[in-house]
Amino acid sequence: MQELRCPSCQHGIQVSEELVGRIARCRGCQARLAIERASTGELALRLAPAPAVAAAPQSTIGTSQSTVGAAGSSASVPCPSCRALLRANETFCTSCGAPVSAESRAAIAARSAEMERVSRRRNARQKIESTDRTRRVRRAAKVILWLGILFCLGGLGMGFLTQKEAEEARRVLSTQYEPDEEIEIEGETWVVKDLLAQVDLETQLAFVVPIGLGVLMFGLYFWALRAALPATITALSVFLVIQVASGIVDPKSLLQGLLLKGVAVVFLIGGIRAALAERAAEAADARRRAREAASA
Amino acid sequence: MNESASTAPEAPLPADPRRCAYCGAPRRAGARFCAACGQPLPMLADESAAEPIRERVRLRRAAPLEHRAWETFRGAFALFAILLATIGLGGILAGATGTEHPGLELAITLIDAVIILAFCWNDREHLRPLLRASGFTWSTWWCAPLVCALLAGLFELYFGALRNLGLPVLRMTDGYVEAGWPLWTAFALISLAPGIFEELAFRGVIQTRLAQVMRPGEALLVQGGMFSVLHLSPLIFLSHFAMGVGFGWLRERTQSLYPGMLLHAAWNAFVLLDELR
Repeated sequence: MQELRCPSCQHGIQVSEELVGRIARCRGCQARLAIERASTGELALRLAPAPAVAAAPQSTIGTSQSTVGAAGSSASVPCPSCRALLRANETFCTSCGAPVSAESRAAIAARSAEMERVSRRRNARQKIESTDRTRRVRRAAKVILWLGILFCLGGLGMGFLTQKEAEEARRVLSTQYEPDEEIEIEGETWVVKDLLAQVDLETQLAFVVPIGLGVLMFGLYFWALRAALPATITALSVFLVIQVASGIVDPKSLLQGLLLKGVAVVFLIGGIRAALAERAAEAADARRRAREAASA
Repeated sequence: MNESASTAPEAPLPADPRRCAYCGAPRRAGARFCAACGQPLPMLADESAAEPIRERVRLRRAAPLEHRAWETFRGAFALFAILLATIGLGGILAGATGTEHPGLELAITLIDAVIILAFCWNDREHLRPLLRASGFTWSTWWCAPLVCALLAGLFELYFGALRNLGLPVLRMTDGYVEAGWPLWTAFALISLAPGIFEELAFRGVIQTRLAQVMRPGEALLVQGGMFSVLHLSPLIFLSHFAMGVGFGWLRERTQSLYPGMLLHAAWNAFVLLDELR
């Protein structure tokens, strides 16, 4: 047993003679390491080529690429004479110089085919996952759009209802009281002309506030089409705040339409999760490309 | 003849150490023999000069990254939801009792403070640089009065427009006056406490966490939106959104929470003084 250092992170790894030619994974950095015999006869660790399944790009819409070629070129089998890894397109072992036998070539070809198959399967799965993420993000955007429509319609309904009640109140106030007369409502003293102004203001606010929130939701919907993550988070925050605010005004409203509210929250959270996953996949893809560009 | 055939041909001087001197095939890092012709390769002083292994790429699967992003976001949103819940609870209790007693506000502020400090303790590694006095230099302070002047101008316009429209502006000191609480308690609970704890929550925990899962500009806008809507008044959405974004930008610019805390507390104190005038 011999202790070697990982060439990537310098983490200590115990290696024995019988492991020569095999692939190990560093516990420090998770790098794949090929255990080989160096020219001096000592054991050595080398960063092993990534398998095709790991080299496949992380699935994002429009960035999924086939890695069949990469899978084929990275397939390897151990050399029968020195256990070093033999790769496709090698005529001689780069460690001991022995010619690569027909059996070894056939084994490499078989391994390549297997890796291609795994790679294709992984690509297909990633494509499905990517499509699912897109579907969830679009669904969340649609929920935002529907919330906007509901707020606008609700605003119009509430506005007209308030307007009707305000007209009635205005009629009573103007026929039964003088403009400078003081009246008491729920323990508070009001001058009639101030009360009339307050009624007008509340009528306007009954239209403006919900329609304003609806317009805000429409804006968030269009933002969600461009950047789903921040828009969906903002929409969920606004939606929750509206529920709490209406709960403060009338606590019973918290329990009204629970199913609909729950569905909206679930879809919005699903959209956020999908958008986060998409960003994570994009980041992983960008890092992979950067590393490939650096190593090339 | 046989001897000459078995002996390796004399290698020309290697012009390019990354290639085999006999057949010109690219040389792999660490290779002792050429993969194409099987001829021995001389050892290089600097092995890194050889052709780099293209597969020397370590990749992480997307799933853990996605999971980490979700955990990070969940922490930020949990703080927002808890603050929203305490405000909602306070509002419902105030509505049920029919009074706006400052004792209730004190209780809510204390609960919020404990929750925010717990989140800050959890995120102390990320918040420590923002709370270090040496984290900003005096040369960066030029932007504090700039933002202050900009906010003051915008708010004067905004609230002036609200007043002209006859829209009601919430009065915060009435409850304190009615309950007979001294004035300094109003300044402590309305100016000082939000200045410290809201900045720790929004510009500290939430903005830091959001910036880990999205672009800094997006994090700035989202935390500004959250800060604005948490005040539960549609009339001040715009002004507080601008305030949130301004303080967030200041935090980014100075890499410190102190300028935002100072401005926030100063702004709240200014509003109180305006009410008492």
